[in-house]
Amino acid sequence: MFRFLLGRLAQSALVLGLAVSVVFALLRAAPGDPLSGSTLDATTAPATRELLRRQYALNRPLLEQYAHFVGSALRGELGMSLSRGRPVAQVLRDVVPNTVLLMGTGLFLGILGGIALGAWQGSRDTRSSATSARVARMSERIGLAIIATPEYIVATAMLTLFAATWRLFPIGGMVSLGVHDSLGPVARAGDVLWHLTLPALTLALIVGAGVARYQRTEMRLVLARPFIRTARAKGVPEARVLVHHALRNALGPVITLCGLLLPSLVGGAVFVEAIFAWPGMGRTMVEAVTGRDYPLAIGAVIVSSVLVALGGLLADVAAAVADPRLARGRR
Amino acid sequence: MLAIAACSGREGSGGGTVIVALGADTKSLFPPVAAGTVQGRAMVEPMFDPLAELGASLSTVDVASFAPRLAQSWTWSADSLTVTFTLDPRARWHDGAPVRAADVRLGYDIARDPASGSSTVADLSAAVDAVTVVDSLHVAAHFSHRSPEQFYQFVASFVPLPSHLLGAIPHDSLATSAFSRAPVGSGPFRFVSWKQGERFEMAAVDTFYRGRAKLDRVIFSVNGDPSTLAKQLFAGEADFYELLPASEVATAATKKTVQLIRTPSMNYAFLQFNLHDGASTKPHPVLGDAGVRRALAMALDRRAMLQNVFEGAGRLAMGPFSSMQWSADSTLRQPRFDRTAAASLLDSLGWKIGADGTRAKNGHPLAFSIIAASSSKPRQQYAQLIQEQLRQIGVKVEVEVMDPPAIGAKVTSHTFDSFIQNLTAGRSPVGGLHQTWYKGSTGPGGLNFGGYASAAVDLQADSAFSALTTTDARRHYRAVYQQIIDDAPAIFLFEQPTISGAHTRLVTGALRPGAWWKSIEQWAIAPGGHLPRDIPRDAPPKS
Repeated sequence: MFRFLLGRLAQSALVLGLAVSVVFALLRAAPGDPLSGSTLDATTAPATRELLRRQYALNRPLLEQYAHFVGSALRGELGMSLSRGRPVAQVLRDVVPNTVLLMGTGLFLGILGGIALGAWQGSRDTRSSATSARVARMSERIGLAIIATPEYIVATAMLTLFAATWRLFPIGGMVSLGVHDSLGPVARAGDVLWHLTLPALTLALIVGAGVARYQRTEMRLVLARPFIRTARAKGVPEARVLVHHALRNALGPVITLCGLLLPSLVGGAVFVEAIFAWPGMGRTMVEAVTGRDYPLAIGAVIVSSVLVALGGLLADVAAAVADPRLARGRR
Repeated sequence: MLAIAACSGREGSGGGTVIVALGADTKSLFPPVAAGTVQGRAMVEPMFDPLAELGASLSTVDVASFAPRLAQSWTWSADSLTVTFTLDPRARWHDGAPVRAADVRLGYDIARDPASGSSTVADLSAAVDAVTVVDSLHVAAHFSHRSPEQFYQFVASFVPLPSHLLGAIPHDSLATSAFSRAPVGSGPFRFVSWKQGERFEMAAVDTFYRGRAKLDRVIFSVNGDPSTLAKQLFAGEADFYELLPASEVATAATKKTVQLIRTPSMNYAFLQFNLHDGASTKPHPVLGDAGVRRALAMALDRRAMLQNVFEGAGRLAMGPFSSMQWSADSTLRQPRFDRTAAASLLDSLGWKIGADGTRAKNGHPLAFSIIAASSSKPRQQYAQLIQEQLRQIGVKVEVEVMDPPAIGAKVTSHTFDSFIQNLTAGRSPVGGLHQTWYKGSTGPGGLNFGGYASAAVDLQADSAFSALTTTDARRHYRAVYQQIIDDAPAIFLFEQPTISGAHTRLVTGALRPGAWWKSIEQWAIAPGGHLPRDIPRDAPPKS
């Protein structure tokens, strides 16, 4: 297991290095630099602009900039954010916990809900009641519709319905402005939770719809296997057959899927954060890329790549724990 | 003022918390840096008083109309080249220290030093020779030359800064200093807290020397998504949204809790042509010919486009100025919309319609591209409308939509044919003319990306800048504007309307065009309009 872990860590480091280098090159290849946008309205004096260009080494050759960046990154320095006027590490320290809270909650609810729903859908067969089968089919169709709908439309629909129309949740932000700071600690946590609910549910819907689809298919495959028939023939109660025999065996591929879902979840979080005004890393990353804030964009990519790599690693470990043959096979 | 719709008529009661929805945050709360963006100014200016402020007439040339702020009065030397300010002895920094002449000198020194990151270096350097401290309450500004706007150029280009806090900090460290994140000001509001990219809070100064602001707190809620900001306003989670997107105006009008405030714009947009072939000095094969440019201007139905895009809310741009500037002139001779005449003019210039419907001359098609910003829907719509209208006279136009940094790279390297520029004009016409059309504006920092140059314009502009009376200056400005319109280095398109949304509980009074926050100390909550968030919070300032 140790060698397996070591191998996966080395792979993750390689992926991280590649991702950061590609983003570095892509950002530089995009026309314009962090200061070229300001040339359109002359809000920054030319002398000031040139001074900043020198300060941020934007006038140096590309390879020199890259070498400087790699050297700084290896020392743990991510540089200064050009759009926010402070160290990138500080900016990320503010926003990463917010994203982890949102993504963590969304992922947890999505996976849990998706597995439960998919397992239930997969267990509906000819022995189920007509109503139950109809509800299962309807939930499958709704899930398919959610998968087929772009994330930003799902998020906008949730916001419009539950916040703007029915006023069940706040429109956006992470706290109730003007009120939050005067609340006690418990009430403050409740306030954050209230603001978290709708964006987290949106992410959970996006994640859960995909997970449920895979879980349903796996469940059906497992339920068709001989050992299930044997268990039923031995008189094992149906609930125990479904949960202990079928679901446990159907979880493996879904655990791997959850690891693979992380990159798309990061992408989904960008839209959800923008639409729900959630002050997280996704929003920060978009602003950094559109404003050509190179240090901040790359810093955000490093953090999200680490999160994705960690998620993938955890999924692999979980799958290996669930099925030790996987770890042995890698040797 | 022109069509300013005020929501006045109700007396606001004291106190309250107002939440302002903003589309972007500022990079810094350090005034010389924050002055570079509208949102930065909105957040910082209520915390820092200038020496004097434009009066109710908003005239930049009538010195008598200026309202005293940190300076309670001022006197001129006989030659009008020196003005001595007397500071208000009651004025205090928010930490209790008195505002002194050394603070004025420091603010001026920092604002004209590029190392500080200042946005107003050029404005100050062009107008003022030096600032000297006479005594602790008197400070003198010495001008290099006389001009109708010299007083405005001085007082509007910087704010005094606390020398007891900043005097020992090198100028190149100021923009990233602790002060730039938790400033100590001299204005009606003091800094409370700032979570960059999320929210910024300021509170009324109880002992403010000009009288306490009516509100207790103002909180800026920052989010980049215009649709979400509008929804926050409609749901009562925000009290004010400075610039409602055109797509939300109709919905806003149906909301009982939302009032629309229309303010004249300080912006004007135009289609700027590159008169040269790329970055070379050779004329552009199509747009280098003034005759072609005039024909293009004549072929565009600018009023129809205005109606199409803004549905009657916008205003036609009449030249290289905002209609809110004192030098604006609505009687200038405009390009006449006449598609037939435009086609005839192109025929006479040798541009003949080919088999594919596109004109050509010596094998070169009459074609060019228009760049529009991805961040501006109206400009994209305009680009498409221009494309269609010019197609009707055999001109082929390609529309390219880009983000601002990409456009900046294109236009500064002069590798473009034309692009739709939307400029925010200052109160004074001097800066805009200097930056965009006057000699030297093709250089670094200039906005004359198309390389337009006219000796006649430069001559008249020199006369306008040095005129001693506004009547003379106005006459010369008129000549400048007419020459530019006739030469057609650009086609002037529109002044985008500013439509703000405010909760009906908020009493704002009239908003100043281009600077809605200027009257924020007078904003109030209407009687009966208080909400739970209006309960004052007596928390100490935190950094």
